[in-house]
Amino acid sequence: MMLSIEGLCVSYGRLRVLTEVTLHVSQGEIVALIGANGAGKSTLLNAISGFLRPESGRILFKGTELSGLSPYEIVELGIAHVPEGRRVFPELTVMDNLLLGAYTKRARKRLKENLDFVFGLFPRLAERRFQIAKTLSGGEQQMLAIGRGLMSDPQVLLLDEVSLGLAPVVVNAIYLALKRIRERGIAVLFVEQSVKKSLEEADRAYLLEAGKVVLSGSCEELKAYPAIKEAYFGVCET
Amino acid sequence: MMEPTPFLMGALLGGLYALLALGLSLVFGVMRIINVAHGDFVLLATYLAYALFTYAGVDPFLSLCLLVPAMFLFGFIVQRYLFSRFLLRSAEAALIVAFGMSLVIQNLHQILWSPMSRGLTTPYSLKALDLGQVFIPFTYLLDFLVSLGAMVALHAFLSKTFLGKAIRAASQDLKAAQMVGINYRTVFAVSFGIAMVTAAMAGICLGLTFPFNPQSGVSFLIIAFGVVIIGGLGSMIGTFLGGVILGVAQVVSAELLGSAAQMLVVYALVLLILALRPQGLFGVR
Amino acid sequence: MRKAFDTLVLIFIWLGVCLVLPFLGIPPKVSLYLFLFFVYLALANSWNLLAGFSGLVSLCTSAFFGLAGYCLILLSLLKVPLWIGFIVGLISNCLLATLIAIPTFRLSGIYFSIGTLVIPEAMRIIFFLWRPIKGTVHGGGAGYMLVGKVGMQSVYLLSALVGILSVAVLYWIVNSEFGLGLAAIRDNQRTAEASGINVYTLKLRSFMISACIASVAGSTFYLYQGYIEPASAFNVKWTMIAMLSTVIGGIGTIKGPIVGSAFVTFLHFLLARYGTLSLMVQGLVLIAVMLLAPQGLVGLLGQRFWPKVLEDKH
Repeated sequence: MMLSIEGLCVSYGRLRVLTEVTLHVSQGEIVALIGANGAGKSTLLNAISGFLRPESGRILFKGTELSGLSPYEIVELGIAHVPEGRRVFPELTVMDNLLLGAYTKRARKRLKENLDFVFGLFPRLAERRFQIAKTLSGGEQQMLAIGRGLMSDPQVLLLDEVSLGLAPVVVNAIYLALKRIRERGIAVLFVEQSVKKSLEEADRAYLLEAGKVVLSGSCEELKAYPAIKEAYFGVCET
Repeated sequence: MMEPTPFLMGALLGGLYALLALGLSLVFGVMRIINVAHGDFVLLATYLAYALFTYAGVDPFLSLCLLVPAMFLFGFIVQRYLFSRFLLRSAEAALIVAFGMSLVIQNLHQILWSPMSRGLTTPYSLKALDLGQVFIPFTYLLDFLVSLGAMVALHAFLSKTFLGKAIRAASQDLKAAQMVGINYRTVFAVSFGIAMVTAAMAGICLGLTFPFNPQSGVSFLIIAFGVVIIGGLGSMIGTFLGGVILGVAQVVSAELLGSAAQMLVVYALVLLILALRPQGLFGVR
Repeated sequence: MRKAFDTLVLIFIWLGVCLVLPFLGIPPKVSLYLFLFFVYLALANSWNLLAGFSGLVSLCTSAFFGLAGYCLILLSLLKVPLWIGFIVGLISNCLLATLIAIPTFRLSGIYFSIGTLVIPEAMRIIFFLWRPIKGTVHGGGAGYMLVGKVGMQSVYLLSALVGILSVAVLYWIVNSEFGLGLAAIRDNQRTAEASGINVYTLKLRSFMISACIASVAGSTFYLYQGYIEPASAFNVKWTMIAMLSTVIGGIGTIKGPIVGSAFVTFLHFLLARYGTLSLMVQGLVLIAVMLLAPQGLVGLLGQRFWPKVLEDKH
């Protein structure tokens, strides 16, 4: 197991957002985090990448305890977080955005290699490498954000709502890229609004509700679950 | 038709004013705090250069060799151990602390140097270039060249080096910058250090060009702020042009209204731009 | 609730004692410091109303202070009764506040702060150049002397009135709908605007009231001092006093400025002999307080000795 979370509890002040969350992601897996808005999915990702300090519980990455480390230290260890809303550096070029992705010492050693991989994954970025990031389309910005995350040479890639506001064609292209990222040996954990999409693209999934993991398993298993079918596909089992 | 000299002098002075504003602009862009003590930090460099000049006979520009690393270290430490504590709290807290620092330094200067007006008078600071139509004091030209050099160097640093790009990234999206592994504390401290280096250069140039006293820091701050307001944030060209506009306004008004009132014109201009177009004339953000 | 009432009583007793003390026969030097305490209290409340309750960190307190002083003294030279000088000071400062608001209210608080920084400097230069009346004081500077004498006791009573009234005004505002609107603006201006609060008007009202408080403080002070000149009238030290008193006591509280002003007055008493060091020490104290106890003495005590923090803020 690459990334292992045990009994994680996170609060915003007095408001408990995550309760006893346990999940794991292994190398060569694509795992989905599904749940309604406010269920705590983004909070979980932020806790993993170091922006939130958990109240209790453990976050282990290859045996190393992550909670308490600063975000930049966690990136250095090998976890990349592609945030909600893309958040590319708007005034910098595509190239600069990608180069900055390789800011850590470890990532700079494999800069050329990773850059080639990213351009191979998203040829559009190669075409527009000297364009200012804020002038890119939504889909291109998303690709850039993922590419930037990949430049940090991660072993775990966290993705927060990458399909938000994008056309289905673009979304498909991105999920295709995720498969190739998995082939490279990177473990992927993504948060996705669309349950249908999640179950199609991932190997396993965790369903989060009000900060608790209520369901987990392989996507095949989950697809058959009545609760999922009912709540999200609108199929009523009488 | 007015003589061209004041306009040319104002433009040259504008370069210096842009340099003065660079530090303020950098700190504000990256950390979103207006360092109210900026002018006093600039003056600190001026007085240090004065001390080196008066007691050790070191030419002010030469003393840069010592002052640049010293001021960088000073800025790095002040940011890392003082201002950083307030960044996460509120902008107001940082303002109040900077205000306190400003007064501490002002008072320090008063004690060390007395309220008397002083100047860095080197052999060349009184010379002037007489090009027939125009009459340019040598120091104005020197100031302009130093400022230009500093701006070019800073621009190259920010656009070509990894650290420079990291600083720009941090000023555009701090959280995303942390997500690529940038330690924002280091970036902030380095930015502040660089800001102090430009402050040192500006301080020396100002000392060579104008008389100064312990209260001058406030005028420096207001000029720097004026440049940032007029030129807008996020653009070095904007800062440069802002400096030129302010410089010309000041010199021309000194010609027309006398030297005592020239700062009033600067203040009025700052307030006017704040009222009419607060994002500046060339602002990117 | 009982605990809060107890401290309120303590505060009133303290103020009452300060009010009455000079009449019970104490050395004039002590009365002087009590006088300064009330002036500082008013200044602190003037600043606190803006920074603590309206989200506006003002750096132009000294502009209002000095302008009031000039109105009083210049008009006295024209044989105008002193109380009219007070009123003219009030009106001028209201006008000044309105003018300052135009450029400075537009953007975020930082721009307000720097915009207000400019004003005292500008005033200093204006009053240095503009000499409407040919009266001068020592050394041909732009200074003027007050014409007319007021008894020390009357001046003292006036200062006490001004100080206590400033507390009352703040208390009244904080517990009114106006104060609620200000709190909304302080917390999040955009949201306040979206919920229909007329941000500009409320801020302007607050700014003008603050200017008025500083104005009467200034008039009272110069009534006592009897002499004014630009460099000290618009000196940053008045803003520092206002800021330090509030911060030490506790920004955004009612009791804060009272405790803080007492502290600052005492500090000035200690530093009386070391005039040149005064601002530096105050600056260092300001930084130290912000680092160690940013909620001020009131906040600190509230947490240490009473289970609930004294709720003056809403």
